[in-house]
Amino acid sequence: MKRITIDPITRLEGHGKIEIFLKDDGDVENVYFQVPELRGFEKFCEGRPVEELAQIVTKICGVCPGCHHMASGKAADAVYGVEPPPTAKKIRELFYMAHFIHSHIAHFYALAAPDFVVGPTAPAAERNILGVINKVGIEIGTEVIKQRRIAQEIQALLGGHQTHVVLNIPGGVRKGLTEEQRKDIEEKAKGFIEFSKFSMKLFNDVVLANKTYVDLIVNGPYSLNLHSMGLVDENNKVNFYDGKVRVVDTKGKELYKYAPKDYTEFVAERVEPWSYLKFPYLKKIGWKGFVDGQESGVYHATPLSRLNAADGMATPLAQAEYEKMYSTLGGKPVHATLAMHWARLIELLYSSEHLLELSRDPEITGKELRTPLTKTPSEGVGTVEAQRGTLTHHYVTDEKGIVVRANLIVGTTNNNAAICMSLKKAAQNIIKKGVKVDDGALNMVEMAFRAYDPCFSCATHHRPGEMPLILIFRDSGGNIIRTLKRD
Amino acid sequence: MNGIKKILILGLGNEVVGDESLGLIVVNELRNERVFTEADYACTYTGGLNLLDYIAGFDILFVIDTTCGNECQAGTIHHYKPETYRETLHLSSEHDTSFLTTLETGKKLRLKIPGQIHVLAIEINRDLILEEKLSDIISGQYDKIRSEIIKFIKKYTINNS
Repeated sequence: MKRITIDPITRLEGHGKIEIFLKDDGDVENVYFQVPELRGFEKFCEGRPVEELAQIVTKICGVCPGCHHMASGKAADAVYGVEPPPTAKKIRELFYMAHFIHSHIAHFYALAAPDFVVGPTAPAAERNILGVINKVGIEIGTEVIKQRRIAQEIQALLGGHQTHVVLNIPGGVRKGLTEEQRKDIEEKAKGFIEFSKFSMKLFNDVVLANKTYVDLIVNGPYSLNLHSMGLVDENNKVNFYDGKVRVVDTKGKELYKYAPKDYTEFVAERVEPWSYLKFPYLKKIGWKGFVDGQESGVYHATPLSRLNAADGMATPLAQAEYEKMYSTLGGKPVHATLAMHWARLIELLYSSEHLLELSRDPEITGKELRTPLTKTPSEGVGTVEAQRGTLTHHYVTDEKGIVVRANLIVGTTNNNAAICMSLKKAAQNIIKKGVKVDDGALNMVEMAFRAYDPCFSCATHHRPGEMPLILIFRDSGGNIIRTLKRD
Repeated sequence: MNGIKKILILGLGNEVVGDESLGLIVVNELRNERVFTEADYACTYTGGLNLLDYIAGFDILFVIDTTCGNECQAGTIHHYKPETYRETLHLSSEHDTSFLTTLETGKKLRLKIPGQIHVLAIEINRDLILEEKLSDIISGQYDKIRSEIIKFIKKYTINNS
């Protein structure tokens, strides 16, 4: 047996390694997506006052700190058995929409667009944001940088800091919004909507108008028949901040709809000896291995799964794009992994529209920012949709509010099994006997996980090095017979 | 135009990951003690395109970050310029862009990117340790590291007028 190693893989946060094992005839036998680092943040939370965790967990990751802050804030509310007043809840959501806008812009233009705007097999030196700017023009590139900066500024205004947020406290938020600030955010929201509409148009013009790309999305080696998970509101519309977790099966039929506090009845986590990252699955179905299909317990929690699991979007422009996507791709649910990029842009539009709605809500400048804490703290669960999937924080405290146990199911963790399977399917179709395994082929394998926007970050950390992509061929004895390296 | 160049001293790191907080600690101290009154100070926790929001508009940039795994003693300060750059712990984001790509992006978008960039990467022996204090080995050398950084910045800003 031969082995191909891609280590580290590029354009994701954190560290991962892909091991591809070849049969003697050169076809792919198996693929392992390994996360060889231990994060350990759950242990780090133990012994801390629960009200501190919302600040501590923002240091888990420099990409999605706002998501951990929100999930932690909601879990702390639940620990104290308290519901924030409407103004506090809306300020949290306002912050969260800006967080989504920033993250989705960054992912599409810096990480996804190089594969589509520049091309999946274009030279690696051009397959980055500079290549995207070369294609779309400086004016648009400037707008990308500007819009994500504005989204960061809104987060900093509301959260005290754009990365290490200090907004949430149990029962509410630390500070409110003035009328002047509200008006400013309202104007910025209009700009986000226009930019989101432009991004949708760019996707239409560059991706959907290109038959090769559409064929790659629909018929390429990037589809998995999985169950879909996402948070929905009382009308079963996509909601990032609140609601119930809904799971639909591979045919789009509702399997479960549950309150976040009941997550342990529906989701279990499996451990594999070759990765530090756990593999969640649907508990009532059970773990059937790394297989897709109706009988499998594997699900995904992604922008696409959120749209699959919901009955629609809660804002008009996003709803129109939602309908267009399903109409184009043959109805619900969609199982084409690369359609996650399309779903992400629809979510960008929704976030922008919802930000505008919230900025115009009369309650957003209210003065009641916190509900007093009167109960003895005990246990609580907080769930939000992170950009990369359903994020759950679960804390158990003593009677003084000191955390004795913490469990975090991070957005990307939900998708661990799905990512492994997507990689295997892509590798099996792209790496074959007699096919030259070059940089372009490797990138097309990487595209399978990049769609998930995975994040294995460990506290805004980056290892030194040149971030190479290394391809190692090993013979059945484990000896290296060929090495390809991409800087 | 008075000819005085705009200087930014930028600290990078993560305050809950032990020695990786060193860049933040040093820069916050320099700011609080007003060691360089003519400079602006900033601290941040993420690299990639986010850096453009901090560095655009300045003439001279000093980045104080940490690095690990260079087979030299903890406390050693490496000096990199863009043309001799090696990755430090926080300047780049694999989820976003590398430091050099960020600089190129800024230039391509016609932002004013500092003409002089100095990255001071302090060697630490251990990273990924979740704690809110410096290791004994770095603590023991802290004053020396701090004065070396001050000396370095003075050297490159002495004629700023």
